[in-house]
Amino acid sequence: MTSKKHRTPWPVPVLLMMLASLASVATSYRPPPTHAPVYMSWKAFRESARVVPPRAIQERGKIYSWGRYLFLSEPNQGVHVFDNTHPQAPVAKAFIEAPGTIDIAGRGRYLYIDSFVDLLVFELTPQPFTLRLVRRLKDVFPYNYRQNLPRQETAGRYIWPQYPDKTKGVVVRWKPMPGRKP
Amino acid sequence: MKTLHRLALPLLWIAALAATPGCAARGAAPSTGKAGSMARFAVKGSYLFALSQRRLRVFSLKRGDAPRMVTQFNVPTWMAETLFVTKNRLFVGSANGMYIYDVKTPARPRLLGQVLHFNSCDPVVVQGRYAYVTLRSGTRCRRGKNVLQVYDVSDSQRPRLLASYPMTNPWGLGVDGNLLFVADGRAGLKVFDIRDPRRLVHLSTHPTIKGYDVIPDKRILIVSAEDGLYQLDYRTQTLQYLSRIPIGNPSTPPVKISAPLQMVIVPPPPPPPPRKKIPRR
Repeated sequence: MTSKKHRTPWPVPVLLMMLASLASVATSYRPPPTHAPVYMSWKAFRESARVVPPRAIQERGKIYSWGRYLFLSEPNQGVHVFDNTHPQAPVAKAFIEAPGTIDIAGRGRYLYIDSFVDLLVFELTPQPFTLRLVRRLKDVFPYNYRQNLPRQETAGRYIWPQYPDKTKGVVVRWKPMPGRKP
Repeated sequence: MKTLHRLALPLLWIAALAATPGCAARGAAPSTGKAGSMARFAVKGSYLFALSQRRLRVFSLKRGDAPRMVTQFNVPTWMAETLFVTKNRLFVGSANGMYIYDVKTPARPRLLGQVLHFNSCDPVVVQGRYAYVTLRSGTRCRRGKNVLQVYDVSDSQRPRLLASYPMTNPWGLGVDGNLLFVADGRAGLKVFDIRDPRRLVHLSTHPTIKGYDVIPDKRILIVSAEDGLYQLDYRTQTLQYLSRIPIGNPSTPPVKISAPLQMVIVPPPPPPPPRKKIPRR
């Protein structure tokens, strides 16, 4: 008797199934990707940060003014370091090569930058100028594969990345897929 | 030998001072720098705040070479973008509003208040009791509007919108003394007089400088623009061009600025449009 009492009317399961199938169809559609990931293995990534001689700047990014030094982060590439004692003639001192860098902060004699999921600590000594990596805090930030996608404004087209495989490493670059018109 | 001992301590002291890259004049206290308004890193005392997407992480820098994460929590938004820290408050600019945290004890931030607007990107800078926010539409926030807003944040629980000014596509902004600098995308760098925060006076526009982020620091304005890292002197009432570090394809000729950028006083804009009601929670 109780089973009869709790019987659901027949249209309910039918409607639910229809809804589920509709939802699966609606969410399964993916447009063909426009960009494919170029990986750097996690091992190579963990050894990637280094200080190199200054080089030309390709793209503008965030800035940080710290004492006599001026830092410009080139999005996802690294940080340009300038001696800004004379703002009318800043002197390029070094470039910190660090994939996935966006932000900069400094305190005391330490410089903190992010590199995808890691936080890097550099020690800066002014006289003579030296900059060296002293620590890497691993996996303190979440991995956001979209952070270095080409900017839609500069690419001038719709960007749809191929979903990356995290086990292959970190995506350091996105290359346009062949067979897709811009 | 005794004199050597007597000399050793001051010498060590001097060496310690010299090892601090920040202003030696400020003494041995560890100094921090000045970030642009687009920053997601902020340093307060011996703590580093780092924002990624919606998660705010607090690192202790007591041992500068070995930061230690002390806490992390989510900002109640889906996309937080910028941080600005004042003496005891932390301002988080996000895609749907501005959040104000109490950071008197940096290891335990406490949410004080918020302002909600919808679908815009917004760096925020604060000076005294006023916060200046730019809302930009574009890519992730395409439904947003392009405006500069002034809030009275003297009461953190109840920030009040004072004025709103239409912009072209504003990115970073910076405030120092009586001047507010806005990197208004394609429209160029804009300078405002903010003596009356309810009624900003648009002083000048510099269309050749298509800025992204700005830092007004000790009378020098640093602008990260599409074609270079500009430095301008705003010590006097004129904005003087100092230098430009080129960015981008070196084959393209640099933008020539022959004359110093004069600040031209233009008549103030018509009174701002009627205020839109900002929903509060």
